Amino acid sequence: MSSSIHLANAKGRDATVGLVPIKAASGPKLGLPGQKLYFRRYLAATEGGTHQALTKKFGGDYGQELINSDPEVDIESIGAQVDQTQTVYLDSSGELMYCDPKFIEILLNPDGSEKERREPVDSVMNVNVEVPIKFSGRLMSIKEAVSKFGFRRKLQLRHVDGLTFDFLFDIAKELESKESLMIIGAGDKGIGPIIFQANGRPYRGFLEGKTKDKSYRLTIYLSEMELKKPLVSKKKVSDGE
Amino acid sequence: MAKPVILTSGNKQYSFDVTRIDRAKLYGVRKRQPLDAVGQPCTKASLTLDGANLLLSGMTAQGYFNSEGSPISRQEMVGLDTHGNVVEQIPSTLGSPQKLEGPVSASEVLDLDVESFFYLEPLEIEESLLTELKSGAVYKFSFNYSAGLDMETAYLVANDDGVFAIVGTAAPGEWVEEAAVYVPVDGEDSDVEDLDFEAL
Repeated sequence: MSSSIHLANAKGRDATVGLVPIKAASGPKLGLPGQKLYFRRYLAATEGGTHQALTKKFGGDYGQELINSDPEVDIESIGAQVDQTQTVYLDSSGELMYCDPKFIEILLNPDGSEKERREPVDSVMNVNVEVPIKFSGRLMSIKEAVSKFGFRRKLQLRHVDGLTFDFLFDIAKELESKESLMIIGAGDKGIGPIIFQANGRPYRGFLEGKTKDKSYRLTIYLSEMELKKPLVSKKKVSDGE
Repeated sequence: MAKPVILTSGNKQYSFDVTRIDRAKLYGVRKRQPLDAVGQPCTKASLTLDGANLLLSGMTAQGYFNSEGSPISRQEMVGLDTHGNVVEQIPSTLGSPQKLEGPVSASEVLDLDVESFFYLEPLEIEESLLTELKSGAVYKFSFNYSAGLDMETAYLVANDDGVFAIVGTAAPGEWVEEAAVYVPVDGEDSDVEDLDFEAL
């Protein structure tokens, strides 16, 4: 994900500044007092221990064979720590493929039904490119924004030198006076979705600015969804709808 | 089925059926399917770097181990705070009345590091609270969907589509002074995926 953003202010002046994700401090975790624990991925079965392989070797009813001779346990391999791996693909007959597969894109409706199949459409990162992310000129009150949109991520803008400190401080001061969120985005009008990495999720961006003495706080709130009633809620299910 | 969210304010009690919502539930998802040379779906697998094991779905497991390499089950583990002190597990708040506080400033919602969103279907509610919420009032209450080690905060908001709870932990940004040095943060979660955002 990009750690900087090329941003233009309301006057069209632009600069590239830093981005820092805002996360809550980590809370309590599971563990054992006074001991350091390690989370590890390990081998639980080998190819010879899969249902398919066992069925092929012993037939469908191989339960007794598991009890008698533990054919699914490969003492040399089971329990081995698995660190880095390489992604590979098996063709429809289960053979390892030595060339890249072809990809298609499947769009699914919220209920899981298929909507469309198509050639994959790639999206490009647009936050740190030649054309800056712009102010749309549209302001939204905080009350309206929080009741309409789900903001799952937020990023803080940070200056990278003295000039960009002035640039960001001025933006924060201007937005603070409006007591609203400025909708920012890609494209000429600043209303296009913001994409932080190739094929990344498209977000709507809402910028808030605050100042205190000689410091500032500029935050981009990112929304990937509206707050809407889901097509299937529990009451509908229980009502048999 | 999950128990309802029960909220109290003075001598009044409100209850809601709760449904977690996310983007997939509202707009659907986009998946990329690999196809082999004859156009049939492929299976994704992993190869260990030494080439010794081909890992299909279900062939690996994961867990906690101590420094001697012995596995530690979840039942043996306890909650520990950042100083290593034992903390008690907090039960789910579903089905248990929680005090409704507010109205609070809408800016508090922006301070949240949001964990999840819920659609709340009113089971028992007064019209006056609904009207107040739809006019932009925001209330908050303590919320834990399932038992956990820390209590989260939920903000109650409403729009023409219904009532929603926005759940998370407070995480306001920092004030930035001129002397602050910007250090890029590595390792932010990748957010590659899915569907165009059709929300607006």
